[in-house]
Amino acid sequence: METSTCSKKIVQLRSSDGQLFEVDEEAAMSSEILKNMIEMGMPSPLPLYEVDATTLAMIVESWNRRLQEKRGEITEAELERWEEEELLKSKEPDGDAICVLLAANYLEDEHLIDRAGEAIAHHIKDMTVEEVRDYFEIENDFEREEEEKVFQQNAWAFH
Amino acid sequence: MSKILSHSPISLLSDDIVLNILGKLEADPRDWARLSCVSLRLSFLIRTICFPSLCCRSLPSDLLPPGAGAEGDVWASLHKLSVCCPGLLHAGVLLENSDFGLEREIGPDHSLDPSSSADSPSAPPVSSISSDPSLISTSSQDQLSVSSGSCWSLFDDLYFDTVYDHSEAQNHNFSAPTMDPGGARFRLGRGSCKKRKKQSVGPVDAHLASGSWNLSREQGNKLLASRFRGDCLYICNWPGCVHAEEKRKYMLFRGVFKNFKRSRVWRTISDSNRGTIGLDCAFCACRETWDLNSSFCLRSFFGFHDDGEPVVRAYVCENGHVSGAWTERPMYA
Repeated sequence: METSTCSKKIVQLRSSDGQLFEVDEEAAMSSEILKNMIEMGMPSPLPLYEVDATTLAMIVESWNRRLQEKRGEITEAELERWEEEELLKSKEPDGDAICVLLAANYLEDEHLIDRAGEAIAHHIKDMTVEEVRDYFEIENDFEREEEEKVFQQNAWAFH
Repeated sequence: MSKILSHSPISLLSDDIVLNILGKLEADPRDWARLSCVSLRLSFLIRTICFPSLCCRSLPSDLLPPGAGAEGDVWASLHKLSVCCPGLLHAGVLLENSDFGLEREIGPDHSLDPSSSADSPSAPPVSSISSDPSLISTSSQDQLSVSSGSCWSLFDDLYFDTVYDHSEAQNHNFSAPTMDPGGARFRLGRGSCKKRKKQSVGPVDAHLASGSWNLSREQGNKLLASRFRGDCLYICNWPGCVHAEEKRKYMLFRGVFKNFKRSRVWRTISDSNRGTIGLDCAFCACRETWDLNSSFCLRSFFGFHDDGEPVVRAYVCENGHVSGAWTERPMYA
C-alpha cells in the first residue's frame, strides 16, 4: 500500500489523466477521501477520478506547504501568501480558484475549500452581473419579468 | 492549469459550497443584492438562506417573520430595510409640501389663486374621479361625494384627535381652511403628489445607508404621537443616513411596524379612509403610501420650517414599511 522512505510514509496518487504523484501520507490526510482510502487499506496508487494532473500537482504542493507550516518550517503568513499568490492567484480574476475549489470539494479538504471560497468571493465582489455570469460560465435563466423585478428590487446596490 | 469541464463549474458545486462563498460576502450588503440578479439559483439561495440567516442575527426578534415558511420576498424586504436608505425620493423630500400637505387633503384653495384651474393636469377632472369607485372615499366620516358637492373637512380629523389626546391637538400651527362650496376634491392614488424640480446634491434613489444598520423601537417611539405609544415601530438609529442638501440637512431614516395591520396607526389611517399618495415604498412592491404627518400620527411638537417644510416627514406603506426624513428643528420654532 505505501512505500517507506526513511521514517516517512509515502502514498501514491493517480490523477484522472493517469499521472502518478507521490506524497507524504501525513500531508495526504488533509483530504478526508484519501484519509478514508488509506485507513481502509486501499492499494496504491489511489485513484482520483475527478482531479487532473495539473490541478493535483498544485494541491499536493499546498498539502506539503501546510505540513511545513505545521512543523514550524514556514510561518503561517508565508503559507497564506503562497496560497493567495501562487495557488489561488487571488489577484487575477482568471486565476485557478474555481479549479482548486472543485478539486478541494471532491477531495473533501475543508481548509482548501475555505481558502478557494475566499478567493472566489474576492474575485466576484466587484464584478458586474454579466462578469459574474462569465466567471461561473452560467447563463441568465431569469424570465424577462422576473429579471426586471429582481433588478428593480436591487437597483440600490448598483449605485 | 487546465480549465474545468465543459458545463458550468458552479453547477458542480453543492449548495453548501456556494453558500460558503456567499457567506464571505456578508459584510457588504450590496454584494448579495447584486448577486441576486445573476441567476435563479443564486437569487434563491440568497433570499431563502442568506437573508434569513443575517436578519435572525442582526434584527430584533419582533421583526422576524413568524414560522419557517416566510417567502423570500419578506426576508429580502426586511434585509433591504435594515441596510438601505430610501433616498430623498422615497423619503418624500422631493414632494411638494409648501402647503403643509393640506392641498392633498382638501383640494386647492381657489380663493387665493383665481388662475388655478380645476382641470389642471395634476388634478383629474371630477367626472373621472366619480367614474372610478376606487378613488372615492366611502367612509361616513369623510362624507365625500363629489357629485353632491359636500366635502370632508380638516376639522373632522382635528376633532377625533382632540377626543383621543387633547394635548396633542393643541399645537397644530396651521390656520383653518376655507370651505369651498364648489366641492373639495381629493387627488388620490398615483400621480397625486407633485414632485418639486429640485436640484439635489446627494443620491435621490435608494442606496446603501450610511451609519448604523440596526433598528430600534426606542427610535420609533420618538417619532410617533403619544397616543400611538402602544404600536411597535422600529426605525434605524439616529441620525440615519445624512444628506446635506443646499437648503438644509436631511437625516433619512427607514423602519417598519411590527404587526402593522394590528397597530393603532393602521386603524387611524384606514378608519379615516385616508387617501394614499403615489409615492412608492422603497422596500417592497407597494406603489402608494400614507403620509403619517398629515395623518397626525407623528408628534405634533416637531412643527414646520418657515418655508412650510415639515421638520419630520414619514410615509408608511400597507406592509408597515416606513421611510422618512428628520431635519434640524428651527431654533425659534
